[in-house]
Formats: sequence, structure tokens, C-alpha cells
Amino acid sequence: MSDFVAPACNIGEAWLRTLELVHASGGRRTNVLTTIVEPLAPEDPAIRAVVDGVLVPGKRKGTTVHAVETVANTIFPHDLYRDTSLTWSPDLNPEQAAALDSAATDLYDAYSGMLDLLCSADGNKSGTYFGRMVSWPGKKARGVNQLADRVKYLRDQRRAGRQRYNLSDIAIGGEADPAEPERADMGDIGLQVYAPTDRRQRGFPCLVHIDLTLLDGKLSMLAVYRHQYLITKAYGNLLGLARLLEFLAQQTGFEVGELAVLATLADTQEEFASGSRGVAALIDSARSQAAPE
Amino acid sequence: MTENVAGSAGASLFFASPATAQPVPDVIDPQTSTIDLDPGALQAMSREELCHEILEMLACLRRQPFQEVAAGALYTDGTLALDSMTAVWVISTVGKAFKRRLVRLSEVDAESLRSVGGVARLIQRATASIVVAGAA
Repeated sequence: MSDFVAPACNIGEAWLRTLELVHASGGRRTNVLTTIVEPLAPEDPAIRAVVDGVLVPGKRKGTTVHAVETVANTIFPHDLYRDTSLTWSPDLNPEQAAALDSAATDLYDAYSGMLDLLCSADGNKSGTYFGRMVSWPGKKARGVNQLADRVKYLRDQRRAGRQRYNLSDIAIGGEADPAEPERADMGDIGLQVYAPTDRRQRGFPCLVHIDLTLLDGKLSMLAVYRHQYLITKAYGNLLGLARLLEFLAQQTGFEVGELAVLATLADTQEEFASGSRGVAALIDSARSQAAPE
Repeated sequence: MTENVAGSAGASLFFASPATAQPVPDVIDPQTSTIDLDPGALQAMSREELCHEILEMLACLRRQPFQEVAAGALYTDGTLALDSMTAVWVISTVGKAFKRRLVRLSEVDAESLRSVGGVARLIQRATASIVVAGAA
């Protein structure tokens, strides 16, 4: 049955509410929608500390555990992106526009250039999420750069003043491999992270699609996960998606809207957490320390 | 892969949102991002020299002054702490100088990806037996 998590103002609270809801419903739910109203709001340090305390890297109970930042880096490797303190606008002077462009280009090049090495890691045999975004299908450099395409398209919208007049919503969704890329309508192309050749029933790719919507000058994002591991992955996923949204907003000059995640299967990972009681203890710990919203 | 950089709890995720953008700087990006590595020279370097070279690479990547990069948080081995993604970038970039993939990440100890010292040690092991064309 579908579930709607009450929208939260920050990543930590959204993560905790989702965990609470799914735990209260037995540990696994289908089609769970989580919404963060202000994706760039400061994280709740108490909730983050609880998550960090659980996600000490290593292998436990058959699960490889990565730190929150490691998970977030799979979606947006923010340490490879320079903060220019610039936000794109049609009025940016040429030097500043070039600096902003080069920050993005350097990120794309740095990541694409290490794809071969990244794909030699356990679990990366089929590519990486960010690799699929900047070099589809994501295992080699010089693939389709979906992010660069999105930035170009959204800048064109901004130049046309679409956010000011709110002529229409701009939904971006579809396939990364159009039959005729040069003739493709960018308005119908989303951030595709799932390939038809993906055969694995579990594991990569859990994130299958990212949809972007422009409304009233705000850029919002919906990410679709076919399996959301709420303890070991969800917090890092939210953080990485928020950073990706922030990057797109900075590169296109639109304001950041909301971030939503639809998990077709949300799982509290009771086996990893030592059963339902372990999940309950984690929730209690986080809730007792979380700042009231 | 493992991260060891302090979490961003309580801080902005990484830069100001358009709604709260900071004043635009007048002069930006004074440095180039070109990295030109000599494999022979890399092989001849001591651990400390290689660590220094890696810091230079990071300064180039981030277009920050060397001193600013070097002043970052230290790992328990006393060298600059790295996130694993940046560590992989360093190894990949050095590998390009040798025209080969230096390691398989599935066979790399995560501890090696947590600091400049760990990465330098890994690179030295991986490149020790490579015969570099033109090297003495």
C-alpha cells in the first residue's frame, strides 16, 4: 500500500519520519513518498550523529556499510566540485560565466576520467550513478552527459524568462538514449540511471530515475528508488540528491525547490539492525535527540 | 570506499543557494587545472615527496593555493585526510601518467583511501615494478 510521509524541513527529519512510518507498518512498505521542503536547510546534527554512529564503515551481518558521505558521493561527488560562489544568470559577465562553466566541466572531466578505476570496485561493475549522469551509460568516458544537457536546457528556459511568467511547468523525464540524440527534445529527457541491461534484482541500481520540474522559478527533484535501504543508504541518498539539486540550481540560476523520493520498496533492514527492536531503538535514539520541527 | 572527512551536520550542504548567494567575487579561477605528471619522477620520489606531489595535485583540482590545501584536517597517520572519492581521483590521475590502471579498487584496503599518506603508499606499491620508457 502506498504511504505518504509528512513533508519535513530538513534531510534528517525526513529520513527519521520515513523510518518511523515504515517501522510502524511492519518494516517494509511499497511506494513510500518522502518529501523535503527545504533540501538545503542545515542538517539536524543530532540525527546525523546517530546515523553516523550506526554507519561505521565495514562489513556487518552480511551488509557492507559505507559512511553517509560515501553514499552521498555516489550521487554527487561534491569534493570534486569547486565552489565558485557564483550562481548562473544571463547577466553574468563572461569571466564569471567561464569560471562557473569550468567548475562544472572540471567536475565532469575528473569523474569521467576515473570511471574505469571506479568500476573496478565491488558493486560498481555495472557503473556508478554519477557516471550514468555525466557519461551515459556510465562505464566509460565520453558518454552522453545528461547533466550538461540539463544545465543547457534549463539555462535556455531561464534566458527565455520562463520562470518569471510561469508559462508552463517543465517536466523532464524519459530516456537517456534517444534514437536520434541530435534531434531529441530536451524537455522530454530526464536523468536516466537505469539501463535496460540491468538484470540484478537487488543492489545497483536502486536509484532508477531522477525527474526535474521547474515551477514558479524553482527547480524541484523527484528521485525514484526501486529499493530504498532506510538505515544503510537512505540518509546518504537524500544528502547526495540535495547536493545534486543544489548543483543544478547553481548552474542554472533557479531557486531550489523541494526534493522528493519515491521508494517502490522501503525497507527498515531489520536483519541489519538486529530485528524490529533494533530499529525501534535507533528511532528512539534519533527522535529523543532531534530538534523539534 | 570510506569517507573520513568531518560530516557537514549543521552546515550548508556545500555552497550558498541562489536565494542566499554570497557577493560575487571580481577575480576568480586564477590557476589552471592542468596536471602534468612525469612517471619516472614519480617513481623516484620518496614517500614524503610523493605526498607533497599529491597535495600539489589537489591544489590543482580545487584551484586553491597549496598552503590552503595542506592546512586541511589531518588523518591519524599525520597526513591530510581525504575522502575516498578524491583518493580515487588521485590514483586514477597518477595511473594516466603510467598509461595504466594502477589498482583494482576491489582489492584495495579502504584504509589506504583515507589519507594522502595512505594513497602515496598505495601508489608506490603499485608503481614500483612498472618499467617506465625512457627512465634510467
